[in-house]
Amino acid sequence: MNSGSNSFRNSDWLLLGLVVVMSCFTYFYNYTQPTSLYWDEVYHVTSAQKYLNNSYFMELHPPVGKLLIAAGEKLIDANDDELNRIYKDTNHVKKRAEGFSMNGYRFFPALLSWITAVVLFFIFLAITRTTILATLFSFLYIFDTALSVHLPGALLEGPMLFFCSLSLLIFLHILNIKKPNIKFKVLSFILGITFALTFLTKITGLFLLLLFPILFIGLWPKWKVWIIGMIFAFFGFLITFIGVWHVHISLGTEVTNQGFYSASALYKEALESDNPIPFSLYPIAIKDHLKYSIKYNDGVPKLDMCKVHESGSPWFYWPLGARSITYSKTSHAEDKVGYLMFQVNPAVWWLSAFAVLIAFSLLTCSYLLGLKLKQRFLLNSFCILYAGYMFGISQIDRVMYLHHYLPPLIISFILAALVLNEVKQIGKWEFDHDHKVFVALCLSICIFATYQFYKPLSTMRPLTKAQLEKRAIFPLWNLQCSGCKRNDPFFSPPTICKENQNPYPNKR
Amino acid sequence: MTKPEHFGWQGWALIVMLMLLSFCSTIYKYSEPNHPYWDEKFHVTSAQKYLNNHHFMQAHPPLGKMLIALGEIIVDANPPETDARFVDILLIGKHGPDFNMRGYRLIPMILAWLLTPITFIIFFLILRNRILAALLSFVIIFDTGQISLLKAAVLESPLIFSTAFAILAFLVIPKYVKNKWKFALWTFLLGTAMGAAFVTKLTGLFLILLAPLLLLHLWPNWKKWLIAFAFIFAGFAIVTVGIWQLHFSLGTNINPTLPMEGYHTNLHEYREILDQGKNPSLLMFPTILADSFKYMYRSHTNIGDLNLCTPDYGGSPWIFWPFGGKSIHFLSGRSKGGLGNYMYLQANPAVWWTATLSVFISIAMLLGFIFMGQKLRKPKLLISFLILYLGYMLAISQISRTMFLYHYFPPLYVSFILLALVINELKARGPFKGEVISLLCILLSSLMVLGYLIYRPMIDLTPMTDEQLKRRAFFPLWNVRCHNCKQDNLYYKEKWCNPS
Repeated sequence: MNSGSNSFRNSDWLLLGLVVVMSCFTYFYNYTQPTSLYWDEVYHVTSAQKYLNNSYFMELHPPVGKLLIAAGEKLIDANDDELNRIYKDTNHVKKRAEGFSMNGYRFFPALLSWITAVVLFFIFLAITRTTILATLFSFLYIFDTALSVHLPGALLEGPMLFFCSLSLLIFLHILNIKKPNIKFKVLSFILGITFALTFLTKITGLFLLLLFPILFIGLWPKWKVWIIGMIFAFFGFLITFIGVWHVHISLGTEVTNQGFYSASALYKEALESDNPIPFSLYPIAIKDHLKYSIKYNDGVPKLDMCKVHESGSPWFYWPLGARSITYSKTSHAEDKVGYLMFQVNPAVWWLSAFAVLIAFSLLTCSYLLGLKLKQRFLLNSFCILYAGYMFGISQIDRVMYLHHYLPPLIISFILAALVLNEVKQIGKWEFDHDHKVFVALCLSICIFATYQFYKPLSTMRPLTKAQLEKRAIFPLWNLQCSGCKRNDPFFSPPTICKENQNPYPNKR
Repeated sequence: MTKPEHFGWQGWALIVMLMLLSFCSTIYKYSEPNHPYWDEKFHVTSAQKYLNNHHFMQAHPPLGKMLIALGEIIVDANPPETDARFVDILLIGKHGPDFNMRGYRLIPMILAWLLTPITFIIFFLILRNRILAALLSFVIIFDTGQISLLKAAVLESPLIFSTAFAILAFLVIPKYVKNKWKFALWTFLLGTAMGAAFVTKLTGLFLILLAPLLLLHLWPNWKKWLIAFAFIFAGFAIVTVGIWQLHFSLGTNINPTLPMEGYHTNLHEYREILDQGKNPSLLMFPTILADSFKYMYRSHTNIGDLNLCTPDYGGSPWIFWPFGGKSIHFLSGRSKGGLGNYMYLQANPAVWWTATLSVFISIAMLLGFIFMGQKLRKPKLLISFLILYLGYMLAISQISRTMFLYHYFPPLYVSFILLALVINELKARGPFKGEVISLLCILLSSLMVLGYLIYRPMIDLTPMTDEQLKRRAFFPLWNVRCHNCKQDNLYYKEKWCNPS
């Protein structure tokens, strides 16, 4: 597809096919590995088993992600009924049972994270208007080591990023319509649904609420069109919101040894009766769930960089990919260790961070010096989304992790496409479409090469200490070999408590 | 000044006014507290060694400490026996009765005062507008962070003065390309300023970047640059060799209570010369200088690496500095009424955050210039000062030893220049041109004065309640807490040990 044309040619289908195949290899193929549970899978599998066994429960996160994890197991049926009941009475899996398979639980997150590559391809296409650039930009998503480890797991980020990307794609299409025709209404309705699904997977998805005031500015002065859109979006949201909570509440009928959590008296009473929960009680039930979520969040410890095994990190480290999280490791012969890490591909993350810097720079020049931009509105919109998310996160004082940066990371990919679209020159040299393709191609090769270099950290391939250290090029990542001392440049926590011991001989 | 007719009597009148303001904010009562604090505890002992001709080596080059000693010679605030009280030690524990800091602080204080007119002239050279230059000079006059340390008997004041003077010379040189005497004079002065910075603190070495950057401004006249380079080198070499030679010459007495029997060195020849009480010859200069640098290197490596988990720790990582993190606790106490009094190196957020914003805007303008062909008035200056800023920060980021917030003073000063350059660009185009820019500068300078009034009590031991301190310390990266209060900070969880 060429700039200005809307028809999809054979070569465009070929490129789309390439994206599908490549992302299949990084996100879907072999998604069942590792066979053990990692990171928050230990929590979400227990939640999924509660759904599968109609156990009543409350949890920190809203239901959609966990429902999808359960739906995968229902569909694939990888474990027998006995194994699918084994964790329903606990909050997290302490030890994986013999023969327990994750194939079903990971199915939907892996599938959705695969499809996200296609969604992003169409987002890049909507911005750049050329399939070759859209394909090359898709490399940012397809070949990131951190994303390819985390998203296919039985975790919430895979579905959340899928719904988030879908919302952004619909947002871009709505902006192009600007008429209250049937397509506009349908897309607004779907936007309401995808927004609700994002928010009902993880509460941090609430940042997409910013899309609606942004749409108002984008459609201005057609504010009546915006109101029509909002009405349809609201219906989409409402139906999804009620539908999802209905599924959650109606599935949780059996009270287990975990008790009633923080259910109010009315909700408790309804749970104890043999009848299904009446619809009139839904507002109370949802409120009780939200209360529990807030209470749970308040109980989560604060970030403590001086704790020996702290995996969390402050939000301002994230754009640079700090700090890596070790999910699991296994010892092998010859002092080799296999690592499963949330370790970023620096080519992807640093390019994206640089794109954010350039995006904000272009806007600064535009506002302060009157620089003319082709897509100023879109640059504004995605910069607001990025800054809005980061600002929101900066106000949370509970411990947060690098994977909380994934939504703004996706936004920064889009900013990268917008920035390349804007660039007119590099120094004195003009920068036309062919140059852009050439630069994007070089960067894609670089992304692929660094992906290969960091891939062992996402596949548990055994590495020696020296091999790991060769990959630890950035001190803030705190990428450390098994049994090695923490090498954080700023925080070196004392390890042990001994009476009258001063572990800091050089204290000033 | 290149065009005095533009500067005029109004320019001089503004300088007088600004110096009066600076006197009130920085200089007045400079001798308080009347005892050494922070690194004064090291530098006063060094100064006393100069006053008593004791041989010594130290972590820093000599100039700053020589100036501290010179102030005491001029003022003569202490009797000779008090001026010899600390010659046997490296760090003052108890200063004893009747000790007066007036003399030791004199030269740093004067240099801090002179920073105001130099900064005003630099801003005028960039902006060609007296009022705007005067308003922007508030970044020096009303910054609580710099005030708390620049008037003290420490090295930062001579260092920043040399930096400012080097920048002034750098801006003046391209205007005198056709006047060979003035060109030679200013390039030589640039070299001396660079040398002075380098023999005050090793971090001053970042100013050598100005020499290659000058080529950017003289291009394509590279021959002129070669001449400039020769004069810069001459100025640099004369100051460096002269100051070090003076240092070696002054230290003729050996004090056996000091490290390595008072020699600070194992170098046989040097020990012999010192034993004979002779001043070392210039022939031995390279050997002795190398030995002194080795000592400095050892001293710095002994300081230990940065570790923010250490309780009551002053060090901070370079990435926190542009936001004023973290404040350094100099002194604090509590009166009987329960009020606390504090002396912190506490940034005035209106000054520091404006400066940081201007660094970002400078980068944005430069990226716009490179990628979008954005027209700029002074792109070469913008590039030069950004390189100077980023060069310093990059070099500092490679150092693992503990560093402190005041190590940001040199790039902070460079970021003030970037602020002036940003204002200069905004004056030319966009929505801020014309009167709007004047209003913006008035607003910024008013905020700086307001910030000064709010944060002044945190640097001059004014009694305040814990609540008053808490209200001021709203930014977690500063890590300010009341006297003997428990730590409650999102980013700093200092602890002696972790539960087993």
